[in-house]
Amino acid sequence: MEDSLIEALKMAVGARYLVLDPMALLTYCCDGYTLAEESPRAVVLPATVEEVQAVVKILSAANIPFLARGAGTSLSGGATPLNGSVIIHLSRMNKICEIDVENRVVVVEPGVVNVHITRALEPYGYYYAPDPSSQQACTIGGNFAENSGGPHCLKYGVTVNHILMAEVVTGAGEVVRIGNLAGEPEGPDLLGLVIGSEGTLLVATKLWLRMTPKPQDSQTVLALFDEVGEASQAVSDIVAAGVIPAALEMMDQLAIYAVERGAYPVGYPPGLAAVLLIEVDGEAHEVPAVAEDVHTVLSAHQVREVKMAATPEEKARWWANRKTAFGAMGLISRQYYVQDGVIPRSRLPEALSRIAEIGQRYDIQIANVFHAGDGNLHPLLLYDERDSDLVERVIAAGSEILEACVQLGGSITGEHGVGIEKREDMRRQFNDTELSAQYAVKDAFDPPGLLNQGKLLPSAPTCFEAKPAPVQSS
Amino acid sequence: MEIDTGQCVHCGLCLPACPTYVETGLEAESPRGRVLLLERLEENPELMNDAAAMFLDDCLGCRACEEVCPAHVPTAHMVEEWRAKEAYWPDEVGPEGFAVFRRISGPLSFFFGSARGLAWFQRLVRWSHWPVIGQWVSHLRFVPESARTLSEGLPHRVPKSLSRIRRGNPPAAPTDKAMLFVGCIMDTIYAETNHHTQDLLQLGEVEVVVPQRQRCCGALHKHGGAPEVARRWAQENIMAFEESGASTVVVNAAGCGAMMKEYSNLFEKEDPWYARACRLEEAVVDATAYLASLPLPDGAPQGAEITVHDPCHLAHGQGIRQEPRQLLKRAGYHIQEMPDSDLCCGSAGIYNLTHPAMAQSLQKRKVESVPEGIGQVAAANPGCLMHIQAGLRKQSGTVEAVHPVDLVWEAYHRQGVV
Amino acid sequence: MAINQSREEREQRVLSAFAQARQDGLRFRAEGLGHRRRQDRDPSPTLTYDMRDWDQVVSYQPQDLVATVGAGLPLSHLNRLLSEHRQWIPLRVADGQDDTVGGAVAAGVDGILRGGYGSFRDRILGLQVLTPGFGSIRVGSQVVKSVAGYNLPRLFIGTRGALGVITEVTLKISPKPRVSHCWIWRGPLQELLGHAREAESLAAPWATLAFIRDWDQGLALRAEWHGRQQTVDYLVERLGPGQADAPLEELASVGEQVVLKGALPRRELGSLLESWGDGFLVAEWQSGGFFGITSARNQAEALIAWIRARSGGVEVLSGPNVGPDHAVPLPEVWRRLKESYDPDGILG
Repeated sequence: MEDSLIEALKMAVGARYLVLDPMALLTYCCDGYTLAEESPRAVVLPATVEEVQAVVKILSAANIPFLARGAGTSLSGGATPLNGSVIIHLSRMNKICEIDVENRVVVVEPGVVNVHITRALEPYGYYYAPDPSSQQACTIGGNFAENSGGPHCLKYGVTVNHILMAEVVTGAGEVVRIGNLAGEPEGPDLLGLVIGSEGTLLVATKLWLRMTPKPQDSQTVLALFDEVGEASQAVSDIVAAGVIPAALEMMDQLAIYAVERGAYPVGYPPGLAAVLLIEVDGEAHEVPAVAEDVHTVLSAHQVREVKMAATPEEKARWWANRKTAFGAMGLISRQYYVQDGVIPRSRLPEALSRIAEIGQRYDIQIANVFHAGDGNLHPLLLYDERDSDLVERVIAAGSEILEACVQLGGSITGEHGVGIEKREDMRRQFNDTELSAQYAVKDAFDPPGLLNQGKLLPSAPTCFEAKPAPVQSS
Repeated sequence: MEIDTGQCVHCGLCLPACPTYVETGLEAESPRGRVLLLERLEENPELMNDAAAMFLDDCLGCRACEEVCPAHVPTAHMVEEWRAKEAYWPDEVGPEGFAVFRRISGPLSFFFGSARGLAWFQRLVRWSHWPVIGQWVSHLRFVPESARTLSEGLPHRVPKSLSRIRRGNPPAAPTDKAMLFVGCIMDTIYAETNHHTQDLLQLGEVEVVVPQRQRCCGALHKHGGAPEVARRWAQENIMAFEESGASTVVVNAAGCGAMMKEYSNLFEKEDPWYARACRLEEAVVDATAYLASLPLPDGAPQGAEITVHDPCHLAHGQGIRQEPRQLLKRAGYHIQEMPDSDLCCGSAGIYNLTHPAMAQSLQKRKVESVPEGIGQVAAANPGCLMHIQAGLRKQSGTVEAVHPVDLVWEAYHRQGVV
Repeated sequence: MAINQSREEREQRVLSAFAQARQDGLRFRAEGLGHRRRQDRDPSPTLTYDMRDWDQVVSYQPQDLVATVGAGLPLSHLNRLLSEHRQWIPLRVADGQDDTVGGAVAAGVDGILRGGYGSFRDRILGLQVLTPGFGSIRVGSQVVKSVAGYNLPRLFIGTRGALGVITEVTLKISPKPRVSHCWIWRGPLQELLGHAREAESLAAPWATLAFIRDWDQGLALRAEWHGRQQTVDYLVERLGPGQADAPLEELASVGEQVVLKGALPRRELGSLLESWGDGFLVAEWQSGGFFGITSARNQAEALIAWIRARSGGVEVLSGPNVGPDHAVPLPEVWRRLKESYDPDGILG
């Protein structure tokens, strides 16, 4: 990087917060998705919106690509720098600015860790609803970029349903507020559009979030199955019975094996084929009645055992066990490749048997731990990066699983985002015209194309033109 | 233990648990960053540079990352291994922390290696409070500059003798026989806490023995990168335990307890010492956890509110969080929790000597998170006590950092129970 | 008639209408039942296209709680079909009017059940859209959760066909509650606010906690609980008997009146109820959503300014499109989007 640029960036954030050492940069070479790696050109750590703005202006004037990064827990490469990008690491912008109980709005900087928001709201009887499994580490800015979900989005919705207003810095370095305190768009819902845009449209510097009242009560029901098919049928039947659980999670045999060796073992009996974890919450009289209904539906299946959490500690244990499942894969395999396809809930049995078949065909171990309630699959394909043939098989199998999801009427990603990983898979879900309509959005926000290069949209050989020719009718 | 970074799946769950990441916001100062550095350095040692050495050496060894890691990646242990391999770089090379450790590891061995050395250490510390002589002490060649700020955290009155004595009132019908591990800093600066521990154990119907041949647990040397010293001292302590005839080893310093629970790591499996170390490991209990399990009486409600700091090597190292609270509540204390009570205070053994800047930032953070209106901060580790006390004095408040055992003893003492 | 035509054939007809509008220099406007017509300040000659024959149910799988339907299908028809499976779309607009599904999406309407069931826009999973720039495109998905690509449906919700014509809508469906029960209180605002707070402290979320200010400026609070009998029994014990159901207030014909819809931060709702002036207002306490009618243009203008000053969102849903216009954030972005999706500017 040119000396003048280095000086300018130092001026903008302070010399201490401009990182250029190659070993320091190396640690930013990827996020939770480890199949693509590149060191950034530099890392800057701004502390205020003004500093972010100054950095963006310097970089865009020099035509240098850049991206914002939070905790780097993305599973699709969203926070991995490509093409010599500069990383704007927002870890220092981690303040909870205001808790407005009357309006039920909490104002935070993007570097705040998701679970810290809930912790801060707890004394007031509220929480922040979207709870990605990485919530103990992932930041709200990253959640904004990825439109993160989590187990509880089955009932409470994903990130886009919980952000009311955002202060953003555009690619040109303009600071703008989108939305209002009431979360009510006037005209085009640009806020809804930029949430989940994976940092390719703008950088968020402050967020106004909805505070959700803590439910009066909740109960978790655990069902142990000897057969995967029975478990997935039970999932559909619970919803068909008119119950919308707060969360409805499933783990299969291999996943159970891993989590039982992890930080929070539950003590599942050996030989289980699947575990369903169902949380119902709400008004105090409602919860036992609904939990009882869930119990009844489950018991009507071939199930080894159905039980309700006896204590809050037991419940917390079950959930901690589930939430650390991805990391626990490290105990049974050097690496894993997690897919994130979505299918209509009613096709769950079919989808799971297809995944199993694909695993057999490619000779890959696949663990399943996923949000069954909304059909969001998380097959974890286990591999060892030192076995290059296996790596190739894993990537091919992963892609085939996504194809199967699309064929079943679903989506290639439910919450992990497209990132680097699924760029080309976008073609499975969208045709060329539909992709052009997406490119038009990128072009409208970021005409020079500097923000988070190489993410979200396919690398596009020919057919994408920013300004399409009008479709002529015959 | 070899350095194997393969278990790390790069999930990043460790980041907010890591004090140096929280403090700097830098990926390279996070456990995940350190694992990546270790991994790449293993593949290609040529990559090593001053920055990488600093990032690795900045690790406090607090083990918060190990506790939250779903794949149990032993990051702190791996960094320790790395230090042991690299700590004896030629002079003038490597991170500042290495140089400080080289300078003080000799004196450390002298002072903490025997009862005689400890007595001298106690004397010097006492003298450091005196005018003129204090000046001279703090400017001894082996005393790092950073120790001067730390001395702010010393108790006003440093005891005149070591704590290795038997106290009165042995129980008539003991239910257990415990060896009191007296430690080094505990044996000298906090000798009273050792006395109080004995009293409470006896109140709980436990017979106490205090072997004279025991010595420092060796943790400071192990963490600093001199495991051979730690190994020697561990052998002494194992022998002391074996000769004592006790079935339990009570340790009231979290750092020592965590170290002694891992003594077997110091020996090869084939080494006969390995099995002996394992037997000791099984006998080691933390004093607060052990006392919480004893039939101590319910105390009368205490006036002032206290808060609890969770020492890293108690919470992350030994998984002990609730027991000290139970013990304090039973003695009549009301606890108002502080945020991030288990975030390292920056003391971390001798980290506050080797890495003064980082240690002080964390100290500030810790002191600032003490809630309003608190009289005392309970901390079951001598390093934390001294470091937090130094921070509290800087704030010029009246808040004191006190070992929970002392708090409990005082509560019972006021009631005439001990 | 409609049933015999394929989607492609019908799309072709709309595209031809695009071409005709372009040729004749007209604005193209798709219309459903026509309840949400907004009169622009400078009306340009318009080609109105009737979407009511896009009324088929493309797919509905009760177990998935998802349905894809033609944009011209009235919500009342859809709900009749869904009720066979004890499911529904809980959109109850305060004026009691029916909307086509596409019309409700394009106009960005919402109803009094927003507090209990979430906002209507959050149910919209995917759309099939005809755009002059790209032709027929599918945006969003047909499953309850997808983050594949940009969230394009958001560009078509509430933008009244400015970027394209919605032809099909994929919606998230809700199960019907086992029981519902309703309490209505009348009285001064402070008293009603007290009831609302009490209700919220007893149970949450309510299907609705709607303050209604009628034409005679009388105030009422309507609380509806949807759920289980156990809860209703408990609430009856605490709040009084209530009733199984009660009709919404009857509304006179809208005519020249200005209909406003939007949402306010909760703190301001009380003041809104006090300062509405002549007209009719329903404001939902949990969500801050409101729907109001006012007969005087200048009063509507003042209200719009008042709401925006308090960081609320408001738009004219039907009637004369009175100002002031809000400043679109990122106008350049909108201009470029418009250029891509509607290069000739034939859409309103």
